[in-house]
Amino acid sequence: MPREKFQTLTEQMFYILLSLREERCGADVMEEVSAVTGGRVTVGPGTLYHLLDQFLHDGMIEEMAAIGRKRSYRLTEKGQRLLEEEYGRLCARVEDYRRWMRKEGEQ
Amino acid sequence: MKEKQYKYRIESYQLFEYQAVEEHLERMARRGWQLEQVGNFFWKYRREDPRETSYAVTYLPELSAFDPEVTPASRTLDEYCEEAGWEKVCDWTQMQIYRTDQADPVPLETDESVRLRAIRRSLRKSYLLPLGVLLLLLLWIFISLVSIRGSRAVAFFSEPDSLFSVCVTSLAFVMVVVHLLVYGVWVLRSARSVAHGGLCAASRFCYRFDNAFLVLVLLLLAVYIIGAFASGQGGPAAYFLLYASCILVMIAALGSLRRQLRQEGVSRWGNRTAVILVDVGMALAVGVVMSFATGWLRQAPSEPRQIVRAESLASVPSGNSWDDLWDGSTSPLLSFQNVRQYEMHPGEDFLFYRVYEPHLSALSPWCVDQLLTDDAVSWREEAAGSLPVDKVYHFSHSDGDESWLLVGNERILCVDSSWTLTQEDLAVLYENA
Repeated sequence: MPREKFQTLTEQMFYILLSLREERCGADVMEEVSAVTGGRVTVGPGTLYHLLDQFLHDGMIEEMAAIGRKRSYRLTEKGQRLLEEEYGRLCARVEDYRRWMRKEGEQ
Repeated sequence: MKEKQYKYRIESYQLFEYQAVEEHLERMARRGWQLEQVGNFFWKYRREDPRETSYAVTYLPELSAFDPEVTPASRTLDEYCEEAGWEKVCDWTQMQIYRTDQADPVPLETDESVRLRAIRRSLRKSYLLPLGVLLLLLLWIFISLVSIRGSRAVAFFSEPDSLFSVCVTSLAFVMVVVHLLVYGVWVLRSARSVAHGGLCAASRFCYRFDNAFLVLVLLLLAVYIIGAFASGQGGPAAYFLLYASCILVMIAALGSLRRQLRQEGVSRWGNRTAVILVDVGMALAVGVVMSFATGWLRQAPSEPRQIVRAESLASVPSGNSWDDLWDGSTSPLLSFQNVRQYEMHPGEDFLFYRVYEPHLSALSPWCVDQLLTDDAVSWREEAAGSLPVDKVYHFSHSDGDESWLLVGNERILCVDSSWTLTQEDLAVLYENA
């Protein structure tokens, strides 16, 4: 079933928003995501550009400063709420998985 | 022999066929050609050592073809790409082309849903809108052509340039429809694939289709030009070639101007205004050139075919001299001759006749149907009598003029006269015109 825009987040979206809990410039976001996930998740520069543009347009991040050509961003309250909702969904999935496995183990 | 440093190729890719573009550029790099620039008609390649180079594209939907080469958006994107090891090559409307020599580079796009969204947004204004407008224009031209009725419709098929126009318009219409359909199918397939976690669909169809289309149009053009000159109607063909050349020069000049203004950082509004103004100026200049060319190129052959003179007919009312005008044309489908004779001082008598010779027998019934539907005339079928024809139609106008339509095996003759022609006169006209 197709996902509605930002109803659930892709991995790229999730980790970009997560990394912007601190003020960062776009190029640092790519590095941070790769570092935090141990290289499991990479954000391509094209994807980064488009997602930052979308998040900015939808008010999930805000532009903090533009030093020369480098722009930095940070999560807004709306973005934080979305992140927490996604975290809640992921935790619910993990809990469901554990419950399922316990049930199978008991059987 | 000095090796070429640059190569120019026509690449018929569509803006959404990004995988085909990337693969093609990587193939060219392995052969020692690196992309330098995408122009109006040609892609320019620079000679370098053959090597494995990765090419990748992404899209900036907000860009216009009139924006400066470097905008805040493109600068930001270039910066991110540079951080990831990608070097900017050039752009093609909203498509931004990058390359890297790294062995295992970070892909430009790592989220297919984001990629698909960017492509769809980009193509809305730079692909769908122009194709939609072109489709409507071609539809209007097509409807205008098929709405032609009567003797104009028949004469139309005797003109090689009209036939060529119909063929090219029809082919162009088919091409636009195919492009829109292929894009629509690509969007549906890609959306379905991405929704299930897959990649956007691959597409190379338009590339192959457009190459075949180009070959077909060039073949048609060759047939038209050769046929026109062979049948003594080189004038109109030369006129068409001159007109087409002027249009191509205009497109190239406007493209160069736009690119130059982009390089100099002129704003979108400034660039667009300058291009429109130069476009209007060049269009006027082309109009002037073509109006001069009309005089010395678009004329009928100077040697008329045999004319049946009014004064040679037995029933001609007076012995005054007559003046005549002649024109005609021949195409692979039909030959047409139109003779108009007027009595000189002080007379009002006239004799007009038009000869149609379909080269395909299947065309003859259609020609007759069209000629019989001329609005001004209510034809009445009459007996052929001794005339060497299959059917005779006649109409007497209220002012005393007469119209005849003689339909035979190989030709159709329409005659309009200011007096009543005898059967003998009609036979002379039919056999000798």
